Amino acid sequence: MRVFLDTNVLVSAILTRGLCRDLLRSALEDHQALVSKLVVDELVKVLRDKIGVSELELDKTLMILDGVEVVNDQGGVPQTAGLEPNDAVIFAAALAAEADVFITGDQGILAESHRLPIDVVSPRRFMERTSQPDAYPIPTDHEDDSKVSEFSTDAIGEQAFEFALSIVKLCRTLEERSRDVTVRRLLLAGTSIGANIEEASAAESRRDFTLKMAMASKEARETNYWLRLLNQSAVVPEIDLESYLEKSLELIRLLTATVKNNPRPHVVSRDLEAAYREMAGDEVREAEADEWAEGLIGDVADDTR
Amino acid sequence: MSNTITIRLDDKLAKKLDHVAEHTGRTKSDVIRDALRRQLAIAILDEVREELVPLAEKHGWYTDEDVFRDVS
Repeated sequence: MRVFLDTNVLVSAILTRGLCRDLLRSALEDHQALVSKLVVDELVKVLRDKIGVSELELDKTLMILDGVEVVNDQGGVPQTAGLEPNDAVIFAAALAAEADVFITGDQGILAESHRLPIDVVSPRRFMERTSQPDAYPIPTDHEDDSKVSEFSTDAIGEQAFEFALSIVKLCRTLEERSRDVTVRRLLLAGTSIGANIEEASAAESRRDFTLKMAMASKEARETNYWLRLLNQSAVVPEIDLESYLEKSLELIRLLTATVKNNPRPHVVSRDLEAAYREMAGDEVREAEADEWAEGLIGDVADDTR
Repeated sequence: MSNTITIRLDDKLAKKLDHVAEHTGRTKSDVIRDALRRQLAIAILDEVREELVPLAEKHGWYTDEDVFRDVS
């Protein structure tokens, strides 16, 4: 798992006798630990200015990061709802680095966790979860692979394709009016959801299927993030992005359910079928989906640029 | 600059290395480098903590919560 550590967690892991020390050890041993360059800068500042660590000790301390992936910060200052500017920059780096989980002791970030596109948890919550075998269900190769064909991606794949098509059109329109780099990122993430689902449909094993669908889920979350960023930063204020945001949330919900349920075949088959039946039974929702899908049919090549 | 070192592995460890390299599609050297980086990072963490924890305590930081209160 790709585990991003916020500055306060890294600082505490190095300086105190708390849980964060065990967490960093666990991240180094069992996961891929991630921090961003801004996190490293903040760590250096705390050690040097607050604790008075010598330059020699500082150099030695930074050698710990040889076991950690230090990722680049993203250009500009993203305006993630509810986060302080520096927190938003760090969070954007975690998102771009495709972190599976963002660990922080910052109550402000934890309070916004339900609105953020990565799983945001406290050190205690992370340790509790990883001590339970089913906390983060990643299937092993020992699981029964014989039922892969049961996992049809037709329904969700179709939705993701239509969504990608709408994103291509949207990005063309946006690019005509703005050169904001976020548009390009939206295009990449928005079209990758369906591509990953397509790959999942040809999965060689259950594990392969789950991983591909998990990638699709991450791309859906990233798409939602860029849409929110574009919406709130009002890059092109005259274009209403609400419907795109809703569709991205719908895809996130479907993909999350698929990934969460898939490692347990006896649960998946029944639950997914039931869920699809329930969705099909909801006439209002079905009508909306039809209307949305119908409205998007067309040849991308015919669009004016 | 790169360095080459030769290490001896018993059969059991060598088989595990073969298995992990094949399973993850990485070279054996890469698996060893990754494992070494992680283990050295943990060893260095333990070493620097011996020096830095007392400094943090002088600053009044004893637990995670003390740090979380002051560092965002």
